Amino acid sequence: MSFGWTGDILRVDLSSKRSWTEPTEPYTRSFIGGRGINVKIVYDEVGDTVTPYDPENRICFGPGPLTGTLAPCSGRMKVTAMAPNGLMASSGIGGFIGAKIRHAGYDNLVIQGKSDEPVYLYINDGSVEFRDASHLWGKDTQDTQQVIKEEVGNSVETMCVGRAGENLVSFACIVTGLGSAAGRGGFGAIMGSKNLKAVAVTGSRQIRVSNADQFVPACERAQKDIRELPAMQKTAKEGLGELYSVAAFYDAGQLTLGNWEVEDASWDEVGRFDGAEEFYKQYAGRQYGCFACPVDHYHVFHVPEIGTGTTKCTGWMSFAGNVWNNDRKLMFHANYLCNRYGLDVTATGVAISFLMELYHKGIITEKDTDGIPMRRGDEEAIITAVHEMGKLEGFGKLLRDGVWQAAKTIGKGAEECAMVVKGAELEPYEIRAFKSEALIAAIAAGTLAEGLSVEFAYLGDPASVGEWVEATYGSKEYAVPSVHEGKALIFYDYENRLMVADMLGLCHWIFPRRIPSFEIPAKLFSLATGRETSWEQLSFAAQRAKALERAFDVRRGITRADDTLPKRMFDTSVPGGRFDGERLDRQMFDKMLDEYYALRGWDEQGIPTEETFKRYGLTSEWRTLGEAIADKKKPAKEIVTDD
Amino acid sequence: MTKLLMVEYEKCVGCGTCEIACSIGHEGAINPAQSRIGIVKWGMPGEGIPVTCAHCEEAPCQAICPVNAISRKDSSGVSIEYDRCIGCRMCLAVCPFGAISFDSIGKRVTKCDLCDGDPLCARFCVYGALQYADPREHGAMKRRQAAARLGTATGAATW
Repeated sequence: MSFGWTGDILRVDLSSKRSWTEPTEPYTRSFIGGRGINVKIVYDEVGDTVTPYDPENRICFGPGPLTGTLAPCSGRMKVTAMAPNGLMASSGIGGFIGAKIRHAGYDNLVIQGKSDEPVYLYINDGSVEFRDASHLWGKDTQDTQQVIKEEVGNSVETMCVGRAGENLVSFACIVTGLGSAAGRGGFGAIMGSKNLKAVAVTGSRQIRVSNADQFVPACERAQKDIRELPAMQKTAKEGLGELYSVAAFYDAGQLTLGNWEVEDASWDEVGRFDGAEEFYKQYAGRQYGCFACPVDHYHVFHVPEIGTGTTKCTGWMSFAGNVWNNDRKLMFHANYLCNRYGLDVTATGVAISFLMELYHKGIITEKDTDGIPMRRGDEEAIITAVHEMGKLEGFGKLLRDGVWQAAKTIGKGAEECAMVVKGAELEPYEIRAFKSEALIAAIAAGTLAEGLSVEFAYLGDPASVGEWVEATYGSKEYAVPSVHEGKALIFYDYENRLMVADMLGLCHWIFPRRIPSFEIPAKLFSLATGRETSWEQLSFAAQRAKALERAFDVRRGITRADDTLPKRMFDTSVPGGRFDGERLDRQMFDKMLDEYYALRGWDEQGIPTEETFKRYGLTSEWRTLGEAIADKKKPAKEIVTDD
Repeated sequence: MTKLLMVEYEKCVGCGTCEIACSIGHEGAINPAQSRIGIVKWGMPGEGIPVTCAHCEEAPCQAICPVNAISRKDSSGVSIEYDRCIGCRMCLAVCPFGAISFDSIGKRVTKCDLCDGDPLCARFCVYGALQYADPREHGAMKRRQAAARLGTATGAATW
C-alpha cells in the first residue's frame, strides 16, 4: 500500500491512443515526486536526436506527494518537457488541476506521441478517453474549458491551450481556470505539436496518509502559521499586493524600462504608476486562490469594455515600464488577451518591447508591422501585437519562434536588441541591479519564472530576511541587491529549496519565499508518506534532480558560454530609478558563475563531473552524459551567446 | 442550545480544504468524493457554495428512515447509526439539500456528523465561511454586524 503517493504514474501515448500506468515507487527514493520525477523521465526518455516538436518529446505533469492533500498551499503542479528552445524547462501551474490529477489516482501524468487529429484527454479515475477536439480548435482557453465542462460534466478541471499553442508559438502557455498558467517554457506549443488541445480531469480515488492522526494537526498548524504571516494578512485583505505592485516594483527598482535599453530612455516618458486604487475600486470583483490556499490573493476583474479576467504581479509588470505604459486598463487588456490566446505574458511583453526598440531605432518601420507604428507605450501597437501573435497573423508570424529567431530574420543589428538567454525571453526584471537575479537569468534561461530571489524578499522585509540570511549564510550583506559576494551560495541554496517545493507540490509563494525553512514541508512529507525524511535529505534529492536537468542541457551542447546574458546587461548601467547607474560587472559575474559551478559540482565549463553524478548515485545516468561528452556532440539547435 | 455548523456563503472562496479535511477525518484518507460537505461551483473563481447537512429540526431523512437508524444526538446532530442502517438510501432521496451521499467505496450512506462536536471543516476554514457556533450567538453577531452597517449608512449611530 502506498502512502502519500497514489502509487501510479499515468502514461499516455497520443500516437497509438493508448494509456497505461507505471508504478511511482521506483522513482520516489531518488526523485521524490513532482518535478523530480518529471526531470528523471525527460532525461531518460527524450534522446539526443529528438527535437522539441517531435512526437518523441515527453510532456510531464508533476503534482507532488503533498499536492491535493490537506497540506496548505498544495495546489501546485510542475510541467516539464524539452522546451521549444531545445532545453529542459519546467513551469508551475496552480488552480485545481494538479489536485484533480491526484484525486483521480495519479502522482504524475506523462504524455508522448502525437495525435493525427485534434484531441483532448478526459481522465476520470481509471478511465482515459481520447476525445475529438476538432470543434475546440481555434477556441480560446476560457471557451474551451466551458465547452468541455458541458460535454463531460461540471466536476472536471481542465488545462488547455489557446490559439497560440495550436499555432506552435514558441512562448505559448497552458491555462487552467481564469488565469492560472504554466506560463514560461513554451509548453503550450509542446501540447499543440501533439495536437493535444486540453486535458480534463475528475476523480474520486483515495490518497492514503501514513499518519493521519499527526498529519491533520500538523497541517492545521502550518495553515494557521501561513495565514498569520503579516504579509499574508495584508494580501488576504487587498489581494496579492497587485493593488500597488507596479508602483511597488518601480519603487524597489525591479521594474525594467523599455527593452532594458538606455539610449534616450527615461522614466519620465512612462509617467507615474499611480491609479491602481482607482482601477481596483472600479473593476475588482471577488478574491480567490488555488486549491487549499489559506490566502485568497488573486482578484477577478470585470472591465465592461474588455471582459472578465485576472492578472497577477508578473502579468502587470510585463506590460508596464518595458512597453512604456502606465495605464492599468491597458495592462489588464493585454493580460486578458494573453490568457485567452494562451500566450505567456512575460515573453509577449518582451517581444513587444523588442519591436518598440527596433521601431525607435529605425531598424523596422510601420511597413514591417502591418502599418501599425510600434511606438513606445502606444495602445494600438500593444494590443495589435498581442492579437497578431495569438492568431499567428501578420507580423505575429515573425515572432512565432521567439524573439531570437525574429531578430535573426530581421537582421540589421536586431540581434543586439533580442533580450534572450539560450533562446528564451528574459523576465521583466532589472537584473543589472539584482546580482542573484542576473545569475538566475543566465543559468535558468529565463524560464525559471521565479523572480523570487532572496534580494526581492529582502527589499520587502530587510529586518527579518536579513536576519535569516545572516543566520543561514553567514552575512546579512549577501541579501543586498548590489552586492556580488555570497550571491552564488544564496542562489544555489534557494534553487534547491524551490526544487524541493516543486518535488512536493507546494507553492513557492510561501515556501521558500515567505517561509524559507523547510522544516514544516519535511514534516508534512514524512507524516504523509511514512518515510521519515529531513530537510537535508530533501535538499540532497533536489541537488540530484538539478544535476540531471543540467546534464540534459549539456547533452544538447550547453556550456559555460551559454550561461550568460545579453551584452547590454554588462555594457550598460541602470537608466534611472532606485538603482540608477548600477552595473553588472562582467568579472564579478564570472566569479559568481565559478562559485555556483563549484557548489553544484560542475567543472569550469559548467558540466557536471563524473564524481558529482556518483555522489548523487546517478550511475546509469552518467553513461548517457559521459557518452555525450565523449562524442563532443554539437548543439542540436543553434543557441544564443553574447559574442 | 448546542453548537451547529453555521455557513456564511458569501465568504467561501472555493479552496476545497473543507472537503479534504472532512474526508481524512471520516475515512482516514483524502478523497473529496467521500466528503460529507461539498462545494458547488459554477466556474467563476472565488465563488463556491458549501452544501452540507443542515441538521433540520424536522429532518426528512429521520422521518423516512424505515428502521429508525437516524436520530438526533447532542454532539453529532442528526446522525446515522450504522448497526441499524440497511443501506436503502431513502434518506438520500428525501434530503432537500443532497447532503446525504452514497459512498461507493465504503458502500454506505454518509452524512455530516459534526465530527462528534469538533467539525474539522470549520477548523480548517480560514475564510470563516464555516463556523461551529451556537446559532443564537451567531445570529446575534450577524445582527450586530448588520446594525453597524445600517447605523453607519443612516447616520443613526455614532461611535
